[in-house]
Amino acid sequence: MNLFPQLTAAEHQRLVQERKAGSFVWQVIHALGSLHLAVILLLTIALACAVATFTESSFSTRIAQHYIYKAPWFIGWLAVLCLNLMCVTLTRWPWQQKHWGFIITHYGIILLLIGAVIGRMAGFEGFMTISTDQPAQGRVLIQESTVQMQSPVSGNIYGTPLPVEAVPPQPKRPRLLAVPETDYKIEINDYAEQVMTRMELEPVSPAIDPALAAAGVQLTLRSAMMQQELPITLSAHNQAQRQHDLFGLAKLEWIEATQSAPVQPKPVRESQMVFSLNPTQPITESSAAPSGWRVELRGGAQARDFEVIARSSVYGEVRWPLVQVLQGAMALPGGQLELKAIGFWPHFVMRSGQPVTLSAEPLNPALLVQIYSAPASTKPSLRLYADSQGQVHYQLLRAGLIQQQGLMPTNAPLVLGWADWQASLTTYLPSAQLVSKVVKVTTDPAREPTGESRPGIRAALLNHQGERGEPQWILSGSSQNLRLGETVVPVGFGLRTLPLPFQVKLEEFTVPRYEGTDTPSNYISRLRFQDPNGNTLEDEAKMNEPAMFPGGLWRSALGLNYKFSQASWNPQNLRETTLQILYDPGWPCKWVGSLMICCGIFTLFYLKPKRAPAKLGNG
Amino acid sequence: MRKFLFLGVLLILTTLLPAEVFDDLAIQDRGRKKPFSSFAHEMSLYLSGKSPLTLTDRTLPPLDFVLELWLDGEDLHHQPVILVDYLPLRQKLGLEPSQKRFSYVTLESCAGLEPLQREAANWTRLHPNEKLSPLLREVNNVVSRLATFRGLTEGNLIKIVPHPSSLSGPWTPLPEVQLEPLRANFKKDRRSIWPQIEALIPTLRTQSPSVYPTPAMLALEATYLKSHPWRWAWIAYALGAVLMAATFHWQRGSGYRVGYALVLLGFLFQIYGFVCRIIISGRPPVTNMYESIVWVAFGTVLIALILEAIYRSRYFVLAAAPVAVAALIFTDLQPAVFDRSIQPLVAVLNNNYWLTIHVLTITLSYGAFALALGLGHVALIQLWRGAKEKDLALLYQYNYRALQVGILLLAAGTILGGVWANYSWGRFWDWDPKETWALIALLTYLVILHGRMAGWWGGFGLAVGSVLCFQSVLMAWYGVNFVLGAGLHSYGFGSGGLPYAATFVAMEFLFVASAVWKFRQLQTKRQALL
Repeated sequence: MNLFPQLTAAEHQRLVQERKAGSFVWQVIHALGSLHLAVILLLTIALACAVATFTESSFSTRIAQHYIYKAPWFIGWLAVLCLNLMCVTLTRWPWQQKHWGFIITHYGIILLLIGAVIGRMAGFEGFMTISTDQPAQGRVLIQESTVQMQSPVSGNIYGTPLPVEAVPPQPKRPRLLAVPETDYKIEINDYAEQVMTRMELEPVSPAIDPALAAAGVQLTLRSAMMQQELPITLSAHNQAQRQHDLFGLAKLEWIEATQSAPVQPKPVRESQMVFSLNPTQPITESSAAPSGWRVELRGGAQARDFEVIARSSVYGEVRWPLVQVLQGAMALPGGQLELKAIGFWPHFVMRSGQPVTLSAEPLNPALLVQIYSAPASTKPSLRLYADSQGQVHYQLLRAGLIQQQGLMPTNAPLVLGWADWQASLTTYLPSAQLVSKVVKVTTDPAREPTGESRPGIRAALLNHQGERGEPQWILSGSSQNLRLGETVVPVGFGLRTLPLPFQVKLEEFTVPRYEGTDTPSNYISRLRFQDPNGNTLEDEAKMNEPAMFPGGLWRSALGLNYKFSQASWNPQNLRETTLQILYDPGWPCKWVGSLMICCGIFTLFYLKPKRAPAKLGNG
Repeated sequence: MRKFLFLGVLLILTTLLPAEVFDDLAIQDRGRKKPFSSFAHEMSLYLSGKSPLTLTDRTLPPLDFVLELWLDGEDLHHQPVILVDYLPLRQKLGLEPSQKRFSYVTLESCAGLEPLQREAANWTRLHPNEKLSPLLREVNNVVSRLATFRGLTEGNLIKIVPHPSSLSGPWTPLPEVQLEPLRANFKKDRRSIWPQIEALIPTLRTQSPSVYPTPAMLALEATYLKSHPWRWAWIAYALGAVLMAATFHWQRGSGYRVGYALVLLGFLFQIYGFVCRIIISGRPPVTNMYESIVWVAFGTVLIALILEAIYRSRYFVLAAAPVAVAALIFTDLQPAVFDRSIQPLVAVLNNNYWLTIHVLTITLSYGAFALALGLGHVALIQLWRGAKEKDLALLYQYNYRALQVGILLLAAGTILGGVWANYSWGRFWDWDPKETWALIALLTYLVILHGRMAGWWGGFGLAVGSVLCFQSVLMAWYGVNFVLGAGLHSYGFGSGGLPYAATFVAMEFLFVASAVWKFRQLQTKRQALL
């Protein structure tokens, strides 16, 4: 078949006219491929995009995506564009040489859009936060909230996407989801970006369960300068609950009345030489009070696998990788002491009174550590205790010494002298139990959550008669049992996760800086990939240079690689990084389509067959 | 290659301009080593928005300003040297609204500043993903100007002692022992420290020869700063265009040739400026608004020169020169809005190859559209002046040529952006505002071309379209960063210049409306004649 028959313009036009007159199909093709439709499409798409960018600027990316970019009508409109592009090329049939550029450009756009569809259907874009301390990971988070329900009949788990960020369920506008295999429904009637679990005190008679009952206080801390108000619960239930760290500024502490005198700890300075081959016989030397800690060096195949273990009869056991200990002082639990490595010898021997290492092989590893009183912290603290009359006393300490003490005022806030923080006593309960409550954090910035908060939904179980169970908050990444009568439906909420066919481990994360500044010049994650067949690969994800697995040129060209690129980082924790993972099998269509568009436009504009110059004038 | 360019440029220019002591003194500042003179110029612009800075009793060249701050800053504490550009902020702080610069003492004692600074800090802490209001952003600017002022008077920012070994290690200020005699001499006689500094430089250099920048490198930057290539470029463009316009009916041939040569000369000045910036920063010169405006001016002239070489019509130069001259003068006059200092790249852009190709293509397409805009103006003005149908048709034809270049480059650049994004972040297209607006601009130009093909409008429609569609380019280029301020291209965000942009857009619409009115009138007249 001759693709480019030589026809004069008149012949071509006559052919088209005859074809249109004789066939309904051709009439439809010509209507769909009309220039009117094309221009309407171009204008509406441009307008929709413009509206979307302003929506994104004044609301959020999620909303713009939900209502425009990823909305069915917009995708449908792009599909109409595809149809228009294809029909317009058909209307020129039989194609002639002068149509080359036109055809290549238009099919290029179609191919590009097909690539996008393939990418959306068969590919994914996810995130993974990994730390060098964690073992290899094999799952990614997809930015797509879902609700998972377990059928009470079969136990099967069903997931439904729930775009909470774009269309948040509200008490007035609840979302109903049918529980599969039953005639029950779940009503999701609230959503909050910040939901948190908070420990609160509830009065309980000590006679009920003395193990659960303990004394405690609830305080409110306020700062006008920071525009903040924090509810804080301190109680004697456990060590963690006794203390609260205020943004690293100061410490709040609940103590026993008997302990109320300030303890001036004796200074500790102790050296321990420990051998991994002979863990029971360390060489210890104390210049002052003994530390009460026993250090042990536990070996591995290589120096980097070594572990340092510290044990105390009071505080239990702590472990660190040796490499970490060699980098700087470690705080020991209790807050009084620090441990610091003085030296490490993989193959220890004494030569003329000096410890030396014979080689880098860990043949007789030895570690010298020093345990000493932490430098007197200048961090101020507030201590609270109750006397036998049930009155709450306070002590304000600075550098370990009491600056001010007395009865905790009940009518006015106590000025703490830390910036402009003030504390008021809300309640004191001599006998209370700790209950965890899931609460919605108000969007009022003054009431910022003190702990870690996560998004959450509130859901209740409904039956077909319209009876409703107790609504419950479900935090992202967790699940709750919703109940109604005897029926229990476990419901989970969170971002969708997707398994990867391999495991990823973060070996090292480095952030080089520009000279003399803290401005990062790059982010480098050294990753180790391992697939189930035992193939491993090490690769680096740098800025603008993603790591790939399984790797290889042809896989890259066909879009069959998983790409790991830098997404975000935590300046406070340089052992952790968040990577974006992308898998896009639509990639070859996209880039071939792109190439066609560029070449097509070039052909269209500059490689026209010789003919009379375009008629330009006031049409 | 870099060395080659470098030597050539150096040979031509270092001989022309005498080097001064402070050109040879290196300083580490904001992630880069630079000549002290360049540092002084940047600091003066940053603190006061002026270089040189005029006070009530004297004019301070940037070097004198920074040296005085460093060695004898007492008087300058009381002089109005710190820029508070934003009028609502001046009103809020109870400062004199008609004044733009205030003394350090005034601002430090200004009771309203600290609560606003806290408000800004709280806002950033509580809403880490949202941008600050213009007022709070300006508060942060003023606060960091105050900190910079302190850093200069206390000497912490004058980091001129090189790191002993590491190329990227932090430099330190001059030790007190060496600083004290400098201060004493400076107070007696300002010029007396010149020989002291001259003697100091070899000591600093020999302390860490591998770290200290080479004299050639320092000279290049100092020369770049003093030679004002952008200013010479616009002067040459303006002269060339005026000459071409004046010789339509008189001395046609020689007027055209000299005009073309002048424009080419201006173009060479721009090339020199870009080469300097590339060598100094080691990256392509299109990473902030200042550089991109200058580059678009360059692109406009480049495409005009090429098309001029083909068509020999002089309209391309007449259309391109006003655009380029306006862009270059505009950036020259607004140093506080368009930061001209050369700074290291944000990590996101840290990939020169793709950055070069993608950004240069996109901005060249803006240049082509700017040329089309200029030609559209020329055509519509000619229409107003009652030019002949034949001449107009020719102008429309040129306009079409410029649009073609723009569309090809914009399509290619947008797609290359996708390729870069796919390579570096994985995804090809994510409806980021910058890429979306590039697409919108492309779509609007496509509408113009398709409409002409359908016969709905002709050359006049193209001219009107070139002016109207350029507003979408303006949105993609300036609006996304300065108006929307959202999305992944956030490294380019800034503020300011909005009133100018809004006035420009409004005037363009008025111009188009008047041209359409004129066109209608002409058509009815023609129909009446028939």
